[in-house]
Order: sequence, then C-alpha cells, then structure tokens
Amino acid sequence: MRWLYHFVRLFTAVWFLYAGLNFFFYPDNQRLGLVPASHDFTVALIASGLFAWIKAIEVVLGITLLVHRFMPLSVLALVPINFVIVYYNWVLEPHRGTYIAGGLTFAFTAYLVWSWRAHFWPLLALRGAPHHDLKPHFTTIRETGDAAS
Amino acid sequence: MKWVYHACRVIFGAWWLFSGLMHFIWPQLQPLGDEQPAIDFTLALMASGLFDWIKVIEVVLGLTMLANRAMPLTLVALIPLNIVIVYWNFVLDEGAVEWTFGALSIVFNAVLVWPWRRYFWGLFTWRGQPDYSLDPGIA
Repeated sequence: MRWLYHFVRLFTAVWFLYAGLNFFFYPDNQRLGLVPASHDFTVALIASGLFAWIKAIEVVLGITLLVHRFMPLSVLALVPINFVIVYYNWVLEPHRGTYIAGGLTFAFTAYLVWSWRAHFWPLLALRGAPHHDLKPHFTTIRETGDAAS
Repeated sequence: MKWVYHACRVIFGAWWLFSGLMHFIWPQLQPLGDEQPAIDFTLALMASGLFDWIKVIEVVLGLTMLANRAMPLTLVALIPLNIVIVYWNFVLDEGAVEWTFGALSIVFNAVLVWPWRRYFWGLFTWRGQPDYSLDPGIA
C-alpha cells in the first residue's frame, strides 16, 4: 500500500499546488463554474477576498504534501477545504466530470486521513482529560496513552 | 482557570446553538451584514445551500460544547468555521460590534483549545510515519 499512499499524496500535492498557483499567476484561467449556482458561489468567494486566502492555503498544503512534512496538520487542513470542493462538484455543478472529480477528492482525502489515523484517534475522545493549568504539556496524548475516551 | 474554561464553553456553546437554531426557526432574523461585501457573501452562501450545512454543524457543536463532550473534535471543527466568522467580522462587515464579536470568537477559541492542547500537539509532527496497513491501530 506504500506506493498507493505516495501516489495519492503526490497527486493531491500537484493538484493543490497547480490550483493555488494558477489563481495568482493566471487569474483569467480561474474556473468560475458552468452553471449559475457554481458561478455565483465562486464569484462571491472571489469578491469577498476569501478565495485568495483559500488559494494561498492550497499552495502551502501543496508544498507540505509534496515534501511530506507536517502531514497530520496538512491532512487535517485539507478536510474543510475538500468538503467545500466536494460540495461544489456534487451539488452546485453536478455532471459526470464533476462527479468524478468530487469522488476522487473525497477518496483521496479519506485515504490520506486513514494513513495518518494514529494522530487523529485521540481527537475522537468523548470525555477526555483537559488540563486547566498553564503548563504547555508537550507530551502528546499518544505518548502518555491516556486519551480517556 | 477551570471556571474561565467552563464559562467560555457555556457562553460559546449557547451562542452557537442559538445562532444555528435561529437560522431554521426564525430565518427572517438571520443577520446578513450591514455592508455590501458582507451581504453579498452571506446571500451567496445561502443560495449555494452551504449555509444550511454550516448552521447544522453550529447546532451540533453548540450541543457538544454545552455537554462538554467530544471536545477535541469539536474544537478542530470550530476552527475553520471561526476563521470565516472572524474574517466576516473583521474584513467584510467592519464596525465596533463586528470587531467585538470577531475578537470574542478568537478569545473563546483560544481559551477552549488550551486545556485540550495535549490532544493537538501530535498534529504538529514535522516528519512522522504514515501507517500503510489496513489495521485501524486503535490504542
């Protein structure tokens, strides 16, 4: 499964890096959507200025995925962005091509999350053990093994 | 610090629960913003249907915060939504009230994240090792 992981990682990295840089270098090439629902949503995001921030984050995540560093944080940051991308593809602009793009986005994100699951299981603690003091407690919950779920 | 955490949790939880439920129970009360960029952005979110999903998530996170359960996951889910809320308050709809709400969102988030920091340090792993197997590996 090792080759599959690295294929998914590199594919997502190049995809994000291209999508992010494309917006800054060739803004005229930015895809706005083919139907009113997707077009209006993209135009509103661009007008708000949030789109530029999202594209900057895409570039950063593309680089971290490419160099295989900060992976747990990168994969976690992918989730909300890809949630919107999948929604855009499946709901706002549904047709065969976007169903495939949305499906690939969903599958690749799920696979990357699965590969780093050891870092995410502690986040599913139901009760947990908070620390109300001011010490940083850099020992992670994985090392101490007291997720107290 | 414990009472500060619980005060922020209850206030923020009630705030999110109210904000989420208001959209479904009294949609006419939904604030759209005072300035055009904020109004346009909110209307576009509503037209896309994403706003309904966001409000459902707000209700769920309001309940988990009030119940003080699943807090690490709740906080991870709060952050991207709060980034957009803070952006809306500081950039799209500027004003004393909006800045106050934006600043309060940041403060509440920080106060709530701090006690759960041990759950998040692991996310900042620089190199790490992915698990290629199909074994869930639940400790």
